[in-house]
Amino acid sequence: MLDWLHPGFLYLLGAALIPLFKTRGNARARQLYLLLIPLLAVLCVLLMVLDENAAGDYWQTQFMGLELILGRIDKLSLLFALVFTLMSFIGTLYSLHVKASGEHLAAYLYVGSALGVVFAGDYFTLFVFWELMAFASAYLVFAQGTKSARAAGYRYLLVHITGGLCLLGGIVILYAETGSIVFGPINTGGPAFWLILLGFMLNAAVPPLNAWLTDAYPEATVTGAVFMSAFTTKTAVYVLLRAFPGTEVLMWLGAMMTVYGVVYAVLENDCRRLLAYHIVSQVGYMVAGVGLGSALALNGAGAHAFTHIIYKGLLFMGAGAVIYMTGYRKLTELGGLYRRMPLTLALYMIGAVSISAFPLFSGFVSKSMVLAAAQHDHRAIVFLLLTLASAGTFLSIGLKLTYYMFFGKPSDVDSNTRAALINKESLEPPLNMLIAMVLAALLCVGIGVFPNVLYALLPYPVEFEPYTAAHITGSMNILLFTALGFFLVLKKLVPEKSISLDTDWFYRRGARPFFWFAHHPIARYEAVVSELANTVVLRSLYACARLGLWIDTHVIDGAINGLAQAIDRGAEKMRHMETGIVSHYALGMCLGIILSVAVYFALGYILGIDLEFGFSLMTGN
Amino acid sequence: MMRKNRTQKMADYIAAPEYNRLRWKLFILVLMITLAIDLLVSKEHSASLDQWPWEQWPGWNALFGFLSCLLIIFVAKFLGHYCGLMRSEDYYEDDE
Repeated sequence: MLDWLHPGFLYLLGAALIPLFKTRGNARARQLYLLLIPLLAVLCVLLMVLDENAAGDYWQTQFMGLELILGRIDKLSLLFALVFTLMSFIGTLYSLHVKASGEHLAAYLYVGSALGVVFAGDYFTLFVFWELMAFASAYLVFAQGTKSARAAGYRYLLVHITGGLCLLGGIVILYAETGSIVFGPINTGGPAFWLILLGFMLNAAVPPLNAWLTDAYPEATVTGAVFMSAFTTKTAVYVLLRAFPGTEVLMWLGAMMTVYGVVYAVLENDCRRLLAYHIVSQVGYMVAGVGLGSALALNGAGAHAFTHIIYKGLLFMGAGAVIYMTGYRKLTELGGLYRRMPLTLALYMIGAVSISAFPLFSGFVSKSMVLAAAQHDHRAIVFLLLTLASAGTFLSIGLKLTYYMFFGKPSDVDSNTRAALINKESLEPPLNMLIAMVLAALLCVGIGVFPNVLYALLPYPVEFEPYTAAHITGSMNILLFTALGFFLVLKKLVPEKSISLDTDWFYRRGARPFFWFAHHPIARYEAVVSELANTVVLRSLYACARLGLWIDTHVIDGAINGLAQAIDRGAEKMRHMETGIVSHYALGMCLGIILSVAVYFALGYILGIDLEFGFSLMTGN
Repeated sequence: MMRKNRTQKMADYIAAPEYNRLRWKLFILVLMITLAIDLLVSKEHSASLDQWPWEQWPGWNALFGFLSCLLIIFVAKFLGHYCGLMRSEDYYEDDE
């Protein structure tokens, strides 16, 4: 038990102590503690990465006859564990100024349970941490406290509980079919295969199961969204990598996903919802990589998850800093911030060029692995869809969001607010936020410049060179001519004050016929029934009750009183019969016996009962 | 103060409207250079097996980037405005 330490338990147990630290006055101890836990976890994972003999199963227990494995260590689980712990350190640093203990606690539980999923060696352990992750992350939405955040949080929980039940159903069927819950590739193809795939795909936000993400993430707290952008979808990519490598349907869904997110991002006005649509798009590359299934593709999916977590975290931190400092979240309300937040802009741009896969930035070295894998498998349509989405990524995040958030002019605010937005005073976020962004930016550049460090962590041996002349110039041409297209149609891209319908429509508006049915026919039926009950049923019941009362008072009471009087009178008579003479009593007893026998025979005759049995009793024969 | 002025000036080069023409000129120059390099490189690599046939067409990447950008914007705006995807911001509010 002590030969290995589960990094997730550092967070799960560490969370319990957070409320004990004081938040007022000198909160240095609390801040140090908050940073210490992720730091220990990073070190813990790094030690495992460097230890060549670390691979294996740890923390095995028996539970209800099932063999549970809490710690399965191999290169794939360590790859995700490393980026999860790194991101949790950056995210904690970014949210260090937050006083509410609940948010830190939820973030720790969220990271801890995500690590629990990553190290799980069986489906039961996986499921338990999977559910904990959903509840912990939902808190980060609720913590925002607005009415729309609460509504989005409930929808988020609703969808994730549904997905969790799907997964549980699949696990139960799998156990019934195979007798094993070991977490590994599923090849059965039956209901277990599809239910588990569905549960995983929901968390990976594969359309049409994507709307929970773009609905909830922009409603979360500024710091909560940074955590959310990293863990839920990437744990889903991890479990897909483990259980469904080479499932062809995932390749097509992934390729469609990349374009789906990009198209919605063009229409989006809320800056964090735009980023959320690009999570859908980027996770598409990973899902497509899982579907392609070759060693290069799986490596690419893992590498892209690693780089994506860092640069998407950076982008959410940049947009979060803007929201935190200005209080505005829509592109129609933002603009001209380049003078006031130049550092934020520069750091955000590093995230933007990383996601757009510019050479020397992290996205370039990971995304190209998935593209090369599609090329090796001669999947022309997949390759073109993924390349198209690359152009769209730069269009929305590198150009549209940057332009309308930091340049441009806010269209939907009064002139005072506009003047306040574009004056020259510095509006940079607090230092802890900036340092967190700097760390993430350094990682983005570091991975881009030294890709071999990342490649060494990947599950399969890597023979891939991203920096070929053709690849560099090809990418630069696609990106720069995308920019040309953007600047030529800039006027057509002005953000519009609107929201876009996505598949959450089905449970937000599409459920209306159901609610109408509940409100009208069912409610009306209920009204008629209760009216009927009030008039006919209740009144007749009252009438019955009154009749009963009358009968009770007049008939039954009278009868009882009469009987009592009769007994009273009889008793008075009997009293006079007590003469005290023994022969009178003997006569009475004899008369009584004769009368009894007579009644006995009379009854026997009338009812036709065989009396022999009675006689035999009396005579003893 | 001196340093602040310099950063301010740099910011103006990036965004101020009076440098619009200069920025466009620079941008087009960069585009021409990248396109020229790509033409040289793709010619050199034409024998490589790890390429799609269309990647050997001169200027393919530039054209693909430019057209994808316009296609994505066109498709998105079409879906938004003519297929009812875009709705007013209070679309969901009356039932929540």
